[in-house]
Amino acid sequence: MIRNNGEKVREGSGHARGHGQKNAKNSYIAALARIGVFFLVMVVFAVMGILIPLRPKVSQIEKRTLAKFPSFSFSRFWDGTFFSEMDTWYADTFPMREQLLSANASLNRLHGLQSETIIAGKDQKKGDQIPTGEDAIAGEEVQASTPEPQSQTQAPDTAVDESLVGADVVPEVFGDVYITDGRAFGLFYFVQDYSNRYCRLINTLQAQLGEQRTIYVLPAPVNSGIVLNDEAQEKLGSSDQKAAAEYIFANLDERVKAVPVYDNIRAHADEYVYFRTDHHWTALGAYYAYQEFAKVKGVEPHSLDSFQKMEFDGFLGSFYSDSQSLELQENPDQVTAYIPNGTNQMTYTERDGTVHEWKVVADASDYQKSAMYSAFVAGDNPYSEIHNPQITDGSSCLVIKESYANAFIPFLVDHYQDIYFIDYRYYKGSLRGLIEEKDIKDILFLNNLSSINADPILDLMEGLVNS
Amino acid sequence: MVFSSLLFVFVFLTLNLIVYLFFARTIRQKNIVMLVFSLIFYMWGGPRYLLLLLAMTAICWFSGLVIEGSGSRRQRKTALAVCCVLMLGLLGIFKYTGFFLENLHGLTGFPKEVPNIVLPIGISFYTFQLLSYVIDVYREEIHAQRKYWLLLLYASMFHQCIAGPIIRYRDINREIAHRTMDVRSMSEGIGRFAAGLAKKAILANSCAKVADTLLPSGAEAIRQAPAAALWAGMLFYMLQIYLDFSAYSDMAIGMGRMIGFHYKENFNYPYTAVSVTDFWRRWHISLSTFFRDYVYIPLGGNRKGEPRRVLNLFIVWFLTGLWHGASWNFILWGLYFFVFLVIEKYLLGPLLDKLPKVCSHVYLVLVVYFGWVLFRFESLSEIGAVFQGMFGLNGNGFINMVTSVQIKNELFFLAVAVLAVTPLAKKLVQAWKELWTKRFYVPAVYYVFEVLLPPAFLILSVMALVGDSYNPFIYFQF
Repeated sequence: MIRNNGEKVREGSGHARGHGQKNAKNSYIAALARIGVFFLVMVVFAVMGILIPLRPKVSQIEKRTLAKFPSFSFSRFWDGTFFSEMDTWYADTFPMREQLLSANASLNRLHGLQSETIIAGKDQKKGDQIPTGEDAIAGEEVQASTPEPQSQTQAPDTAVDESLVGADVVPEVFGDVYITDGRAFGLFYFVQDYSNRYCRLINTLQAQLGEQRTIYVLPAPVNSGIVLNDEAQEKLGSSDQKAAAEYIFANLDERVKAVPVYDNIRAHADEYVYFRTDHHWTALGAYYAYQEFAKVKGVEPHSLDSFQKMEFDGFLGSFYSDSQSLELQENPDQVTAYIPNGTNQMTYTERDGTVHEWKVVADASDYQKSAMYSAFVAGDNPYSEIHNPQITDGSSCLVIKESYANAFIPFLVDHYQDIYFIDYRYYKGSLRGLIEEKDIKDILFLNNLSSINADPILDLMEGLVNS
Repeated sequence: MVFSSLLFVFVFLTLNLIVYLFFARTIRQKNIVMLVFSLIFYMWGGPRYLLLLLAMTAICWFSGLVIEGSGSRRQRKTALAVCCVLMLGLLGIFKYTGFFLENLHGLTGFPKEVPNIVLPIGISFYTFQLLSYVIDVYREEIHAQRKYWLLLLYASMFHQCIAGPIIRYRDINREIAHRTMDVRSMSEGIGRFAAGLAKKAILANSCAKVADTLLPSGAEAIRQAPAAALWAGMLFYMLQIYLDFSAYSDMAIGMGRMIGFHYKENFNYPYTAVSVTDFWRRWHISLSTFFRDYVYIPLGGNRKGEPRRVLNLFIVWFLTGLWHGASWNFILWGLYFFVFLVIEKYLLGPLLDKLPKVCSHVYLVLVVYFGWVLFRFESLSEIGAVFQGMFGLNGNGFINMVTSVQIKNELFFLAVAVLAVTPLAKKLVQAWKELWTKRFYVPAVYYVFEVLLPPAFLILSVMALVGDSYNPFIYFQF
């Protein structure tokens, strides 16, 4: 870049010669200063880098545990794994990481016209055509299968730092995220094979359980399908979520009860039914789904104003964590939660097996900004129970869920004596064993459409049903 | 360890410079410091391959001594031949066994299982460096190095051992034995290193991210992409590959300058070239001159008639392709340039000279651009899908909303990246300098800028690199 300072200066034209000598001296001083300043900055960073206590262990904005210092073994040393993990550890836990990250995010904002952005997910970029009418019947592919002994699908290793407990550590799979006007949308891609597998595992369970128990299936739309108009969805290549839900209903065993919620939520699309910075629905969105569930079950839904309400401000959810978008940061959400009338007590079992007493709707005002959705039913845990002392008819319900159901379950409390819910990503017990042991009458599959159309989640669910 | 990692910059390099500057007095001590650091650096990729580096250096060191010490021509020739066979044999075993057996398996079904040999880091670079040393000793252009550890220092020097440039021993042997450091060259080295780091961390990595989002992998996924995604994705890839590679050379040259080594330039704004011939004089110069001096000319170059010349070119470009990776697409990529070079030599050459520069420049950019498709995608089905998709034959239209949003998001960055492959920045700095030193006579303004630029680059790079360990999808993967 800057070459031959000295020579260039000496070549200076005649009238500048007087300045030549001076320039040469100046450039020498500048070179010295340059060396000094550069090394100073290097050393400051180097010293910062060795101050181990300054190193963060978890990243709040990314909602993950940062890399740990690698453990040493000869084979890991010999093949270089030890060193490459040390590299990762050093960079991943660099002091002031979050500040540096957000500074970089501001810089990246200058990369272009960013009134809309797309954070690309992986793989699937185009949904399958959704068959309708006659074509929608998938036939054999969705037939109940006789369970064959399968190797138990291992839940992922989810050891988490204490400070993140209650946070939604493993959110549902979402692919491309579209951000515009201060809010983010998860795009939805229909995958016929996956929807078939989802139907088959439910049909299989129905066949195993027989007539004594009722299975309800409530596929929850993700926000793009409700908030964006049809034209925008089509332009973005996002599949039609109503049609995707109907495809599932068409392929379920006729004893299974379908809970179509799309129309009712869509009718309230201009209300605050989905978060802007998070991929979940709000309690209000879940409420409209609950109205439909009540209709199918044949009970009277409670009105919203019959509940006591709690509000938490400043929620920055998973879309924000994923994108680090400043636009979202400036547009945080409010979490509103409705306390069930019957009881606000619950117990949950953590992944390590410890059992805790907790609140169905907890006060999240002190939670991390990214974790406020955990106000509902203690976040995602393998297994939880709620017992409503006001009801003694022996009614019971099991919800097979990922985090979408969390905002929904509080509404369910007032209709059952016993509610059990398992998160299929973490629950390691036997599903049928649980249903028989607790003699559960209603089984509700409450899953969002993006999860239903994702491979890893289906693996886990199939493992659960076949175990 | 790579240059663009925080651990390298703030632990390895910082320590290296401190020890080198403050604790090593004599040239011998300095060389020991560099050797120890280089070996640690190399060991970082797995100590097991350090043994290979030590052994290959030993072969060349011994061969050099034998060649220089023996009187008979025959003996010298034998020693050279044995050395070349051993070196290329080892390179072949470690780099090409998998490729060879895979093809053999495809043809004959034998062997049943293709072993997976991990490529030792930098083997392509240091093998060539060591070979150039032995051949130059044979040609009596240099004296053999008597001390094994100094030859090892040459081969393992962390500045260039794992990603080039391919430095010739004859270019730095004097500086190994005797080199001086001064304030100006150190300052220049710092500028060059910091600029290289920023080029890699800020520009190349961002280009890579955009290219990876726009260019799906797997023929199936490529067939679903609209044409604009492929065109734009390849453009970002084209920028990425130059920025990335030249940034490494910048950092190597910069670190060399800091302590008194003068490595030759490896890139000379290749995307401003006006013909393929011109491009290859500007792109990875140390590799093309290696092939010229040690393959093309020994084969007879252009002195044995035209058919032989074309054959020689074919061999050189086949090998150039193969050197870049053990896969057919790289060979295809090399031969693709062979075709254009031959066409230029016999047909297009005079025409390109007559055409306005703009036209020949556009021609070159297009040739290189399509060449990178062969470089990026390893399977023929992917390459086919990309070319089809670019011309709308996959039926996805020209552009969709996702793609247009992604391109709009990076529009200004794209402009900066395009300018970064031209000499514009260099010219601007020069003009800025002249403005303040020769016109206004307020040199302080310029010098303050010169002092602050490297730390600014460093800080911006740290910001970008910290985020790099952050994989947005890590927690979506079960």
